[in-house]
Amino acid sequence: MENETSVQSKPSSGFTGFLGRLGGALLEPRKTFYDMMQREMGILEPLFLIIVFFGIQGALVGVFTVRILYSSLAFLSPIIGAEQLQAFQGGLFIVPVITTISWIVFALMIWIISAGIAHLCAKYIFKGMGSYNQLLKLYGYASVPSSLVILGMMLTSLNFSIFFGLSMILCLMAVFWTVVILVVAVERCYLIDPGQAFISSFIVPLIVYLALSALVWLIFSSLVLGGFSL
Amino acid sequence: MRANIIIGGMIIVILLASVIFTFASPTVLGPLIKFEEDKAKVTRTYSFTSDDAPGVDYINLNFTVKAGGIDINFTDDSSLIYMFVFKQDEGATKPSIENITFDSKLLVNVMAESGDVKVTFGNNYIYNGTLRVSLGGITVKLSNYSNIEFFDLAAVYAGGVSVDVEDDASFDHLNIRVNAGGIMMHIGAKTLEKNSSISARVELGGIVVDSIPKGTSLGSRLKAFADIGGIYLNPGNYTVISQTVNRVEIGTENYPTAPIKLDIELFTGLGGATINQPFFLAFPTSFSQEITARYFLE
Repeated sequence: MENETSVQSKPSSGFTGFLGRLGGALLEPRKTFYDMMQREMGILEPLFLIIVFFGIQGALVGVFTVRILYSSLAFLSPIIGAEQLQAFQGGLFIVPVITTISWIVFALMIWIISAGIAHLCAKYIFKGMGSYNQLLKLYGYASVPSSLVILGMMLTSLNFSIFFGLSMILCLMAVFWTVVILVVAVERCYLIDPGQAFISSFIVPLIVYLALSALVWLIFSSLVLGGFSL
Repeated sequence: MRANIIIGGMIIVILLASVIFTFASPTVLGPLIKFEEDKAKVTRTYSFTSDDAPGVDYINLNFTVKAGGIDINFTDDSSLIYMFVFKQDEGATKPSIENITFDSKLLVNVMAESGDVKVTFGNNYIYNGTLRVSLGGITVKLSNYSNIEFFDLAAVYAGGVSVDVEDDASFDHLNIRVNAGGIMMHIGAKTLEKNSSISARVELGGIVVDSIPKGTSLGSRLKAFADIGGIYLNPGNYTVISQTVNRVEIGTENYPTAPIKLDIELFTGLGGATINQPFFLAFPTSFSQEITARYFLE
């Protein structure tokens, strides 16, 4: 605990403090999280970060989809008529709204569930000493590396052939960095070893999500493919 | 701490840029996939009138476009025999057009390697013949100015044929063939000039008949057969004459007594047919809806 006290820095507030926390979550998550835990930050800032980061990702995906569909639907013109096609193309602009909302909802669900799984694992399996609320707040900052994903998506939209490879590298970096932040958050929050934190924050949630995906796929295939074989 | 603030600032800049990008990119960058519409096109117009072939009343067409589209229309211009407006890429081979007159008949041979052609016929001649694209599409609008004995419309390898039949159209028979692709029929006519028939055949693909004509003087009958695939039918107010898993026959109540009859025959090899359905309902989202016949690979 002495080490932890020694890394505590002077609290900063306002927009500068916000920028410091954003950068700190990337550069020095251990110290940044310790400071935040000491100051008992609210839930609104991490919630805001998740909504903004994933909302923008959803919007970019939607816009990207519209830009692909807009002209590629031209083949429908002789079938449904030019006027109907134009109306249909105009209606495509609802797509970014749908993707934005669904991305946010999905991210919020993943946020709450992942923190829940990590909490159960760190608290009850590894006998850590943190709380779910505290971890939920720290987990919100794990969305910061997705700024790299956003950058990659923008570059890909600008020129697919040139920037697609770079975007993939940025995405991999973002995933790796997110895992690091999640591990540090669990380690800080529950004061457990990094290996235990890695299992709690990454391995167990990954297993749970894979199992859920397999279950959903089984249900889906039995319903749909079963229906087709009638 | 200073480094954190700088990195945080950079993240905010990325976020702000992405918000601006999201709103601006559809209009500034435009569609991601751009078709080569802007490529320079050459327009070539060929027309033939009664002055060029006096005494002719019957036109026999042999019209081939290897890759491209044919759009066929009829006008009320009684002196017009044909007008072909070709739009081709710069440098594309010119179409070859040959007119041969014998007695009161005019044989028109047209051959084009590529391009889109708008074909306009007059209302004072009887038309007969074959119009084919090897790869591409054909659209035909049969208005009350049409006067067709027999048209064979073919997408030889792949493509589509769209037929629109309007009130008082005059034709004996339309034969529509597509190897791989689709056929779309919109029959909005409540009346026709004479007994007419349409045969449509798709080896691999689909046929959509979005409505079936039903007029007081017009009796209609439709037969559809899918070898491997399904028929998605909305019988509406029409009488179902017979129906099996892959064969359907429907007709209007007045068909036996109607003075003018329209017979439609549809065949799909591997694929499906949708009949009397709005286009966006044509491809079923729920297989429990009004399916009268279906047959899936087992």
